[in-house]
Amino acid sequence: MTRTVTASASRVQAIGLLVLGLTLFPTSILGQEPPAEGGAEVKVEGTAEESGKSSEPSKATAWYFGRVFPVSGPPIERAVILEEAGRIVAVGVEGEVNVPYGAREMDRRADTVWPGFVLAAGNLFSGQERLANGGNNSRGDTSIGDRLDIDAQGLQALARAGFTTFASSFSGGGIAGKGALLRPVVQAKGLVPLSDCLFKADAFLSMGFEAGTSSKESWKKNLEKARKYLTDLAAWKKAGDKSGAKKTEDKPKEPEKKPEGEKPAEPEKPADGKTETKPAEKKDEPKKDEPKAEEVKEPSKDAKIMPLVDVFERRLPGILGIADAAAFLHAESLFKSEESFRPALLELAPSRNDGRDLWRVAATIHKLGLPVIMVPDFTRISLTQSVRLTCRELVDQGIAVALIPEPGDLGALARFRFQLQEMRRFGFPADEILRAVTTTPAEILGIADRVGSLAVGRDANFLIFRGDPWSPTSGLMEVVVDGRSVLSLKEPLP
Amino acid sequence: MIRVYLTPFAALVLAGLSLAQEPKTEPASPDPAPEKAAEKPATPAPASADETKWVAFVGGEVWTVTGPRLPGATVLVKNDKIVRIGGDEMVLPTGTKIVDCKGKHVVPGFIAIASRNCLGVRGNTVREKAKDRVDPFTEYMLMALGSGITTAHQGQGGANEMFGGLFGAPQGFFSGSPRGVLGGVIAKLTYGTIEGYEVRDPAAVYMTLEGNTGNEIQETVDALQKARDLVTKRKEWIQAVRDGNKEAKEPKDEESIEALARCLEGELPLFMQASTAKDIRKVLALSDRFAAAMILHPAMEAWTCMGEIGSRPIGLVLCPRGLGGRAARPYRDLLRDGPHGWSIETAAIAGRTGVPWATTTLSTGIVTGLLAGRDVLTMSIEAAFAVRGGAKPEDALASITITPARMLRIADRVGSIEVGKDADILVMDREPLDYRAFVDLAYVSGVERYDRRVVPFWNHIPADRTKPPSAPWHPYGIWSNVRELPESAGSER
Repeated sequence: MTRTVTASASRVQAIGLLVLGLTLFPTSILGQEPPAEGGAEVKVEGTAEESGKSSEPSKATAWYFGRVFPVSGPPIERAVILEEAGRIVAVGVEGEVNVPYGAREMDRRADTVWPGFVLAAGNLFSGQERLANGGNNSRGDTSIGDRLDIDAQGLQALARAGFTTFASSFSGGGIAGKGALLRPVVQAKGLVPLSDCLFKADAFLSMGFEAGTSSKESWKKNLEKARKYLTDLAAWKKAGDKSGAKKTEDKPKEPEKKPEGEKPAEPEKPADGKTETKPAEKKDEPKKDEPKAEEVKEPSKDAKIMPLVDVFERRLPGILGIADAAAFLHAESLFKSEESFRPALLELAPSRNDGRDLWRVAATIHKLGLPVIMVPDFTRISLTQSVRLTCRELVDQGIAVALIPEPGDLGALARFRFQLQEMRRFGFPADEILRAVTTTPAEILGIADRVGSLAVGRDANFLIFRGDPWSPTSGLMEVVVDGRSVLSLKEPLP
Repeated sequence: MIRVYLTPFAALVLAGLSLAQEPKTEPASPDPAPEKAAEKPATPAPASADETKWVAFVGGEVWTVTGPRLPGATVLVKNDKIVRIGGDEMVLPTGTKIVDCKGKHVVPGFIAIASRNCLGVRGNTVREKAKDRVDPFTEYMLMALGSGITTAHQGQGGANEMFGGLFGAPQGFFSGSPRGVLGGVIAKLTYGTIEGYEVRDPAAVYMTLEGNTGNEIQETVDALQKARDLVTKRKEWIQAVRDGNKEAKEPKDEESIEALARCLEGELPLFMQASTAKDIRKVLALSDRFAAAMILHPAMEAWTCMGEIGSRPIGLVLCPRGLGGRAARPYRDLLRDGPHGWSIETAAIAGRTGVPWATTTLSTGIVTGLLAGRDVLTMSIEAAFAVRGGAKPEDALASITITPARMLRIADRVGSIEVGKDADILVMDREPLDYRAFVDLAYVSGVERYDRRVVPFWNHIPADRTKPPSAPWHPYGIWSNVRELPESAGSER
């Protein structure tokens, strides 16, 4: 439903932009050849559908750019991105991509394009001062969506920083709650209803770990509970298998309601269905099998723990906040005790320029295969008076790193892209930086099939830069989300 | 050199070890045939290559502390324990990491009987174990290691952090209560890991008698009485169980009393804060009444009544240079008749009287700024000041090694270089109490945790001070990992 609204709105927006484009670059538009009609020369996968409907004018929009960095592939010079209904249907070199008849054309041949950034952790609208990892919560049943106060200015600030998909995380230790993914909207003022900017509800599980005896104990309990549920479930299923082959056949078919954003290819289906549709069906099944499966009961579901089970089963991305290397050493016992517990680490350093020291344990993090979400900043080590760039050292070690601005700090948001440029000055490879704000966070959040890169089938989220995006003198001109402009600037925003 | 340096005790333990545990790996006697010797350890080596780590400290002057000094000796370490001490004829297993100590001094790791931030744990939190929240990457820990401290005791409270000791009334190194507080932690400075960190947690019971009168002293007496009763009841209970009485119940009391009972039985140390001769005499009376072993701190006027202390099971924790402030002078109260206040000779007098004494520093923290020279990093220098006051050098070294280990009831693990003890070993460039001495290497439980050449605290200071600096000094920071700009990506350049 939202999709159709988006499409029509994008059309209106696109026309508006075309007018804007005309006023800005009249000569280039006038000199433009009429678009080739669809059909024979279709090379790009995504345009196949369009070719069939060549008689009707296409609803697609063709964006012409000087240079596109899709991140998922090599950069493309003189590129076209063909977008329809908010999705990218074709990307390629101008002339090779078949632009269908009637498609709107946006001439940005002077500009460079990056995919929209993905923010893996943030707390902008949750009313929390900062993201913290203290405490021993057990709130797997709560969702952040219920408690967000989303104001349009905040969304705009995120868009200005380049984020087109952003996480709203829970703060606190233990199982803190399920976070949501949002995206910017066109609206410029006032409060924004959650439904307008929601990309995905209950998209990931926010967790936190703090070094301490009670914290370790409560985490151990939580992990044991989740593990016990899975063991019991397996035993129960096994009992079900024995009792009748019919029932087992039914089970994989159970999942009918599949959440929109889930990856279709992965073997998540049966599991997905179970978490959502179980209550009704499970009650029936054991009744039928009563004589045989009496001993093994279906394990009861603790709503507070279930998200953790989902994290074990890789159905739900988990993000664990930890303070520093010492905290990681303490958390290591959790990873040892539970092999399925492999969340992304969110580094929440206790102080700004001191204590970002995950490089000390980089080898272990790499061995465990944990991605790291962190702020791109230097760390000063006081007594030895040394300065280190942790994020780059982690990347050098082969760890997937997602970069975020300091949570809860609008100023940090405003200078985030400049911070990225700084990182590049200090030897962080530029392509790695770009991945760290696009594909890596998308993979951490399990939405890499929709955002984070400019490939066919992805959402049409991109940032349009005037000049070199890495140069502090050039800047952002426009932010496009789902094919429509949510932020359009007259002057480049550095 | 063919002589074998073995203390009788070490030889005994070694014999026991080599017979009982490692008959194959460890040739008990120096093997004459080198080929055979090389083969022998080679066979078991591959099987246990992952687990067994051998380190040998070769050719240094070994200060065993509990035994004689052994010039040119070799200390062999297996995993985390010292397994052999001998001469250069010792046959080392294949794959042994050899630490060349020629011209250097091999010393047991120092033990800080009072410390504040070198253990990487801030403050005391009820029910939270230090090992669960330690920050093993704190640079204070690294600095303390560089000063030779491998084991530290962080006591309950304590108030002499910076100004307390200098300007205020003389304070104890730990703060207790009249009826005793169970707390503190003893741990090793395992920089970079949390494994093998904890030695004991909670560490001890802390009491105070300083300036207490009437009711407060009565509280102390009551607590000790209850603890003594508990000890008696426990003995009766154990006897009853032995006699086959199944209905006998284990006597119990509140936590602090149970802890105090453990102190009376000699399992836990009991720290008692008392400073003036008057208070010390009260402590002595309590010690007599309840047959309680105690560790007295800061024991300012102990030197005035050392003879009385010497006849009781009491040790002292003292700061040889005094605790500053008014107490810095030998006579702190002009109106008082007779000797009082602090004396630099306290340690010497204690040594002569047979009272064990452990050295601590004015600030038990690491304060490289204001109190430079008086913080826990200068423990060996503080001990040297006791020698200046007349104490024996070997007592002074013991006061930062085996004496605190005995006081803390951890002497079975640390405090000296003996076979069977933890391999907490320092390699120093000079004699341990030399004011110029630096720790070149610090091993904690058989693992190297500090190397002066690598850590940029004192690596620029050459052993021979007439020579130019041995490494560049970076007083304004090391930007070690700033590198060339890489290929542009995502860029027009």
